[in-house]
Formats: sequence, structure tokens, C-alpha cells
Amino acid sequence: MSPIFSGARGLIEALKIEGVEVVFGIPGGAIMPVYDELLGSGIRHVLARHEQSAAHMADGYARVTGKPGVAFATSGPGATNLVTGVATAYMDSVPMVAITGQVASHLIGTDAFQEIDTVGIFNPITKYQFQPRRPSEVPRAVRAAFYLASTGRTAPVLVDIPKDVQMDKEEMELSVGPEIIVSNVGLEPDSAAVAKAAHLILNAERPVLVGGGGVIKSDACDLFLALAELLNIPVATTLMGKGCIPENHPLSLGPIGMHGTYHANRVVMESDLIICIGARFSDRSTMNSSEFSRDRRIIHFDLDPTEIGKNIRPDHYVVGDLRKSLRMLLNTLAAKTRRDDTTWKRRWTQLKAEYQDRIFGAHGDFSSPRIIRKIRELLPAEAIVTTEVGQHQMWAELHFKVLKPRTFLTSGGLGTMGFGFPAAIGAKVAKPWVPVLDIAGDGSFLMTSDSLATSVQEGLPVIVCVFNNSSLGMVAQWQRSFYGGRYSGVWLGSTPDFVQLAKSYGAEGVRVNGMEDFEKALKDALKSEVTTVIDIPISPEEDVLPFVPTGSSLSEMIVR
Amino acid sequence: MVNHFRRLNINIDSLTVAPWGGGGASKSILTVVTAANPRALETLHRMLRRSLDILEVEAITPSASIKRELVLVSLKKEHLQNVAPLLNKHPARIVEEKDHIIVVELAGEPEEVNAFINSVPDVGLVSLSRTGLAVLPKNWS
Repeated sequence: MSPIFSGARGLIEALKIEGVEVVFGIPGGAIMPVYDELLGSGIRHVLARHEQSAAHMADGYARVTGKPGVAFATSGPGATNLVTGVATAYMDSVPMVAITGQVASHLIGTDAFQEIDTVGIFNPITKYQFQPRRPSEVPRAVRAAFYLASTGRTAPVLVDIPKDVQMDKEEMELSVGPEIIVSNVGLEPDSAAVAKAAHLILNAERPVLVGGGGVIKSDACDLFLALAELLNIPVATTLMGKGCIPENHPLSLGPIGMHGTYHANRVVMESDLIICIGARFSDRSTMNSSEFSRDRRIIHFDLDPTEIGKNIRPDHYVVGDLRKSLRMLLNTLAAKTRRDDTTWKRRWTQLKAEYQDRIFGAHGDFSSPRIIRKIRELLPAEAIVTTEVGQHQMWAELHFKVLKPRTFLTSGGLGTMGFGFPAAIGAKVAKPWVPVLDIAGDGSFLMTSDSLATSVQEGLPVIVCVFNNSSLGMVAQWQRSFYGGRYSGVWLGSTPDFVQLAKSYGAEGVRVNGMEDFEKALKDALKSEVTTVIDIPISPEEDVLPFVPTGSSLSEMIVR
Repeated sequence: MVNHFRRLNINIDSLTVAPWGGGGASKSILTVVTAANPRALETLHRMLRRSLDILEVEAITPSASIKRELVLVSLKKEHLQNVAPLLNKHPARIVEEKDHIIVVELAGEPEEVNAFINSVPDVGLVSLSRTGLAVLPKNWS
């Protein structure tokens, strides 16, 4: 016989069936029955200090583990505060299940206290929204939410539960199928399409591989690397694709894009064939899209059929599960030989050799690029690095070589300042044995620095490196470049004192001046058992270079 | 679904919703009449396909389809002498007569429906209801 449970109990039991070990959230009036059931459930609760951070924590956890992260929030402001975090995950295709309390069913639509149309608000930023109308619908909604979040193109899903549905008791089935058919789950690629792709690849003179976040999301990095090595061709990535090939690999060029590496942008623009795998040709990656596709062919491999032709019209495409597509492509190519390409190889290896160690822009011994290279030097390969959004993020894109998939977490799509620190907390919760470091700017860090309370309370020795130029540096850089140096609204002053701020939360805080100082601080932080904030004063005049201005081709880089 | 149109700033000229198949079905068929540039329509098509609630999307051009719309009007009976020519001129018919009111229906091509609606105010229009377009693509072979 099926048990008689409240909706709240049904939720917790369903989460346990999904294997959920931790949830990130903040309680409130409309989700109290759930929090009551959470006690003694064996599921760990990490208390955020703002729901946006709770969502970023769940997001960081999901990016590291590949499993959906779970965020809890109450109705009204709890739900609206979640929005930025959920939208961030949506734009980067991160699996997440957001669970919100809702006012009691009979109050919906009455502008009751802390009532908001959560389902309506989350519609454009989630793959699907559920609002169970009776307790027995809760486990089914949870199953469907996890199924949708983690299959096909992964994404956040909302489950909004009215308070009466949480409290009422009803007989319920706990292990229920999702009863949802989604067409692109495990989609088989078309073998003829793969054969044609192989033909185009074998006949290209100057092919280049471009890997996106989809390669990492599909856990297809091994096959992607095998393809690169079989073809022995250069490999670029998008920002989200960082880590799909170890960036110290001889074939790796690093990322392309507005702040891609000089050699990656040049090689891609000199190629005659781009084999793009699991990337969506975002405007920040391709820059001028007609220049990007001019004079070269493009093959697009993607799981999501709606991505084909969205931003770039490919000459050929293969839709399907990337592991299946790559395996099929490898099998097809293994039996064939590619034309000799010594000229191309000489060209791209020469570009790479010339530019891979070059630092454009800031040259000082203690400039941001060098500090980021030092971080790489001091962190083990499996360490996880998150970033906020701004100049420091782009310096990390350019100078932090990612060696393993799922170790570089950044808000690529939405570009959310404040993402990095809570995401680092989520990552540390997922993998407490691995060092986790947030490359931050002072502007971004201030947006979610209240998460220090969480990381200290949870005993998580996350490291935050604040590249502190007392300004909103990326905007300032654009104002220097495109607005004649008219600085507007970018000066943050030198407050707060990040060392004192960290200490006030019970974390470690240290300010460094010079590389030796920094090296010591980071080594200490790596040994520390508490969160450490390293305040790194940098010049507000430092620019991120190279820099492709909006509207320009990838090869038109500003380098000084 | 309407949110996708709103996001792309595309107007909905007509929208009809009805159950797919005879009653009690959980699927509905929606017919939307809209005008937008091809690029916007392509983006819209992509967004609709991505929506999990939408099982299938078919783009139908006006020239390659059969289009029908139903309109119901109620008229004041005192204008009865004017209604007769209306019925002669348009393929309309009286569906109900009661007290001072006559209800007339017309089903036809959108042009016919519009022409009919344009002429009824002269004959004592009380109220009007129209369904929006039902469309069947002529893609049979």
C-alpha cells in the first residue's frame, strides 16, 4: 500500500529517491512545512544569505558534479531573488531544480502576502515549471523535474508548491515515472550526416576544431580529445568550452572570442573548415558572424536541433547526443586517411609558438595576467576555479589554463556578477577534498560577499582572490576605449577594506603587495581550514587584451 | 506561448485554440495568424519548437492553405428590411430570431468575413463575435 504523506514529506522522500544529498536555500513562511520535514531527513541544508547566492551555489554544485543542483526558496521575494541565479544556470545549460514555496492555493491570485506569479516569472528562464495542485502530485513533479533538468539539453526546472499542498496529507506513489516524452534525449545521430561530415573533414586543407560547453555537459571530452588527436588538428574552445581539452595539450589554442587568445582567433580565421562541437556560436565567441563564416565551411554538431542555424548557418550539421555523434565520427574517420597538411600545421604551430606566452597589455611583474598564471602554477590540476564577471574573468579566460573538465566555472551566457563566490561554495560542498578558488573583482565580489557567512558557517576553506582596482574595470575599459575616457559610474572608491570584511565574518583576510607576498598568501590559504579572502590591489588602468571590438572580425584584435 | 511572440515583438493578428480531436483530449490545436519578417519568424519557430508544451509547429503560408472564419452577429429586428439584402449579398444565414433580435452567422474566407462585418453596422448591429482563422494547409499530394 502506498504511504499517506504530506506534500512536504512527499517532496523530501522524492528528493531522497533522486539521490539528493544537499540543498541550498533560505526558509520563509510559505516553505516552512518543507523545512520542517528537512530536519532529520539526512539531506544537508546549506543556508545562503540571499536566494540569488543559493541558486549560484546549486549551480556550482551542478557544474562540478553533472547532477542537478537543488535550491530552496520561499514565495514572493524568495522566488524573485532566485531569478538571477536560475537565469544564469539557464543560459549556461546547467541542470538545476528550484523548489519554491507558494501561498496556499485559495490565496493564489489575490495578491496575498508574499504572493507572486512564480511560474509566470520562471517561464522564460527554466525548461519547465510545475505547480502540484495536490500532495500526491508532488513526487511525480519532482521526478519529472529531475528528469527534464538532467536529460537532453540540461537546464533548470521549477517546482512551485502551494503551502496547503505541502501540509495536506494524501496517499501517494513515491516512485513514479516522469511520463514525459522529450524528443532529443539520447538522440541518435544520422549516420549519413556523420559520413558527410567525415568527408568534409578529410577534404579540408586547414581544419580547426572548436569545442563548446556542450562537450563538457555531455561528458564527451575523452572522445573530443580522441578526435583532435586522430585528426591531429588545432583545437580552440569557447569560453564555456574551456576544459574540454587540457589547455596545456600541444593541439590546444585556448578560447576564441572577444577576449580569446591571439593565436586561437587568428587560426580560426585562417581556417577553411570549422568543426564546431557543442557550441552555440554566441556573439561573444564569433564576434562579426558574417566574417566568421566567410571563406570557410562550418560543420555544427549539437544535441539541440533548435541551435542549428540560430546564430551561424552551417554548411553541414549533425544533430544528436554528442557522445554518440563523436563515437560514430571517430569510427568513420578511423578507416580513412586525411590529406597531408604540413603547410597548415606549420602555420598554426608557428602562430601558437609565437603568441602563447605573450602577454598583451599590462607588463608589470605584478600585473593581473601574471598573477593568474601564478595561480595556475600553484594549484593542482584538479583544483576548481570559478570567476565573477568582468576584467578578471577575461584575464582568467586568457591566462588560466584549464587542465580538466568541470574545473572552470564561469557565467558565460548571462554574465552574472556575483556568480563566482557562491558557485565556489557549491563546488566546495560537492568536492571538499579539492581546492576551490574564486577569481574575483572587487565590484563582483561585493554583490554576493554576504556568502562569506555561509562559507564560514559551513567550514568551507574556499579562496577568494579579489583583483581590486576600486572600480568596475570592464566598464571603465570600455569607457576608455569607446567613450573618450569619460568615466561614468565606475569608481567604487577603496571601500570596503576586504581584509577587515573577511575577518568580520570569521574568515581570513590578507592584502598582498607583490608576487612573493601573493605566493605566500595563496600557499597559506591552500593550507587553511577557513575561507580566505586575498585582496590584490591592481591598477585601474589595466586593460584586458587582446580585445575584439563589437562588430569586428575575430582577426581584428586590439592588442595595445 | 504568447510570451515568445511578445519577446520578439511580433503581433498576433488572430489566435484560435481548440481541443485536438473530440472532447476530453489533453492536446490542443492552436492557429496563430501573424505577420513578421522571415528572420523573426524563423527565430519564433525555433523558440516554439523548444517549448516542451508544444509538440509540433507547422508554418503555413496564406497562399498555400484553406482559410475559414466564423462570425456571429446579433441585429435589431427593426432593421429586418435591411437584413435581407445582406443575406443576399453575403453567404450568411439566420440562426436565431427572438423578440427584437436576429442572429446571423457567416463562415467563409477572411475577405468575406471582413466585407460582411463592414456592412453590418448599417443594419443595427447589437453585438458581434468572431472565431479567428481555422487553417488547413494544402500540402496533400
